[in-house]
Amino acid sequence: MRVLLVEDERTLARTIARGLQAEGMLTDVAHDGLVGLERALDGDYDVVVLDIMLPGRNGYDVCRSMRAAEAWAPVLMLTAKDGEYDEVDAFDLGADDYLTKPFSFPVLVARLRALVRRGGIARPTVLRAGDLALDPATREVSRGDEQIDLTAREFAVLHHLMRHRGMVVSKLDLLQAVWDLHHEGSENVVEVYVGYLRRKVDVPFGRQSIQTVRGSGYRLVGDGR
Amino acid sequence: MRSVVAVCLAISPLLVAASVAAVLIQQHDLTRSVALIGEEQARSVARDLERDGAGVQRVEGSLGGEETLIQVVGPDGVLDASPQLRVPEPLAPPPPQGGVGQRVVGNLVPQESDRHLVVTVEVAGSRNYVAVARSLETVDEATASTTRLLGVGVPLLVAVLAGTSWLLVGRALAPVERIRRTADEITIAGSGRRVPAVPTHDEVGRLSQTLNEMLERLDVSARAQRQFVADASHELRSPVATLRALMEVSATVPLDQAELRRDVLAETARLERLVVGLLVLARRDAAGPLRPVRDDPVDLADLVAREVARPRRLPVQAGGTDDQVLVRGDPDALGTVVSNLLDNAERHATSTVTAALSLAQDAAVPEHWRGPAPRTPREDRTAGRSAWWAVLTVTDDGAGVPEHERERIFERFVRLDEARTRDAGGAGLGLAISRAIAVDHAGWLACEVGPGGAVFVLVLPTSSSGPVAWTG
Repeated sequence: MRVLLVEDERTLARTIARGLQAEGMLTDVAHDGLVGLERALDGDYDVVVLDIMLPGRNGYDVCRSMRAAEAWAPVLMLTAKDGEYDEVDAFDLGADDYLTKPFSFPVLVARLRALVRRGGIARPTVLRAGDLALDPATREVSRGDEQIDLTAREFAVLHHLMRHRGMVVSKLDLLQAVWDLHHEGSENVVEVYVGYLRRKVDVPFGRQSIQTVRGSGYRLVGDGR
Repeated sequence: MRSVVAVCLAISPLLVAASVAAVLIQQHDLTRSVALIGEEQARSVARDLERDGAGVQRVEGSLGGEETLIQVVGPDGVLDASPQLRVPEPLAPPPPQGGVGQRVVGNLVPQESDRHLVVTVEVAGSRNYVAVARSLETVDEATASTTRLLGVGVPLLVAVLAGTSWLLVGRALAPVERIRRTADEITIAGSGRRVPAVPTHDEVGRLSQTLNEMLERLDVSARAQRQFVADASHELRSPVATLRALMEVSATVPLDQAELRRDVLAETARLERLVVGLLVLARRDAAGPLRPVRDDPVDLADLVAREVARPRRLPVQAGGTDDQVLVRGDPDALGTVVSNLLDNAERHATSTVTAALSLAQDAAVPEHWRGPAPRTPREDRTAGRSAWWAVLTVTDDGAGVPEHERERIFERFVRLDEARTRDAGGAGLGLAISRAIAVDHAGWLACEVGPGGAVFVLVLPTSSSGPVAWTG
């Protein structure tokens, strides 16, 4: 298990590295954002511990750049910044966990283990299907360069379809995910909203990305040309 | 609203009084003209009587119309009268000797309610007199219509006046109400909210501008305060996190005891520096701009020599004058400034640090060494005014400070990026504290670029009078 620790407090970095090694984690240390990003992109790490206030490039920047370069190693932000928005920003930029200094060392170790268990599968902050993009944090949807305005319900339907891209999603699934579990209405409402969505997301662009799978439900595909 | 009522209350009695006066004057003038005509007629009848004793009927036919009633009265009663006059008594008592009598009577003619003005004139050469009665109907009608006109007009005028002033005052004060409502909603400084700007150049416009300027100042200081608290907590968290990690890791991993002791001591020292610095700044902030400063005579040359002599990584080259340079103030605070400047220079120097103290005449001190124009009354008394200045320059041969950072480095917790590597020392408070102390002593601390690295210039007003040493 390999850990990258990007931390500019040298004594703290040395101490954490020592402690992690004793837990059986191979730890590399970088003291600034530039070196940290370089290592994160090159090396094959199971988890990255990132400070936010770093010389060179700050932790947000490093995290965003990692995700943009499709480096999916889980990231734990370890920082003295304790503001709500600092934390929100970190998660929205692709971080997986957040720990405020001062912290408990055993908790740090446990969280790192949990992050490694979840693994480094692709977890993009912006969902994509072909040139259709959906950002759950900003609630923005676009195809190519064109922004698309959706209602909250339409957004929720599209979000669910995009999260299960390429898979068949039944009307009942959508009904339960977007409306609520005990929704009393018929599944017709799903058809109506899928119709709305197609009119906004597909028709103006001459696509057919939301396909009807007869008898089963819907499937969102990448290009749909 | 109250001002509208006040205006109406002030104006209404005036208007009413003016109206009453106008009616009275009109009535008086009209009555007078009626009296003059009556007198003229009476005299003419009296002249006729005096001449040939002509009867009233004739006289009336030639002189009067419908409205004129004439009576000739002798000592024993009415001698002659217009036929309409059924009254056997004289209309009026005899006129005063040689003069004209006047009297107003009502109900002179049956079935007519007009008032009449009776004018009496003597008939010369007899004890008879002529009484001419003229109807006052036209006068009364004119008076009545004027009264009616004013009775309607005045209240209408007041109403229009009230309405207009209510509209105008309301329109003028509407922005004030909007400002009030917004100001009422602003509860915390730093919210960034402003009262609505009023684009006019009147009192209300200036009020909104002044309020917004005040809010801007409050916002700036609140933001600075929040930033300071955030920075301070951030700076305090780091060493505490390190200490805790050291202790927790050492519980499971056998760390080198000497190294552990050294690390813990270093972090504790850092914490201590931070806390002391924060306390200095907090105390200064809390005391406000008029806090008292010790006012002892301090020999800056002696103080610099002492700080220079302290053992350091790099020896400090001393330059400039060895003579006494007297300033007034707090020797401990000034010592802190000198030691901060030397520490800072040492941290950034590659090989050499130079400290030079000199005395400079007022004209020789450039404007940017003295800082911005004074703002508080106390700074106003002293800052920027001195015949002679003590000038301490501390020069290092490090990387220098980029132009756009030269003012920023005096802010709290600002560390330039290259200096962020923490083993370079400082918590980012030293320069902020030093600048604050310099300002407290009516001086300033500036940063310039030198031939090699950075140059810090401390200027303080001195009580020394010229470069000749004062030895006492």
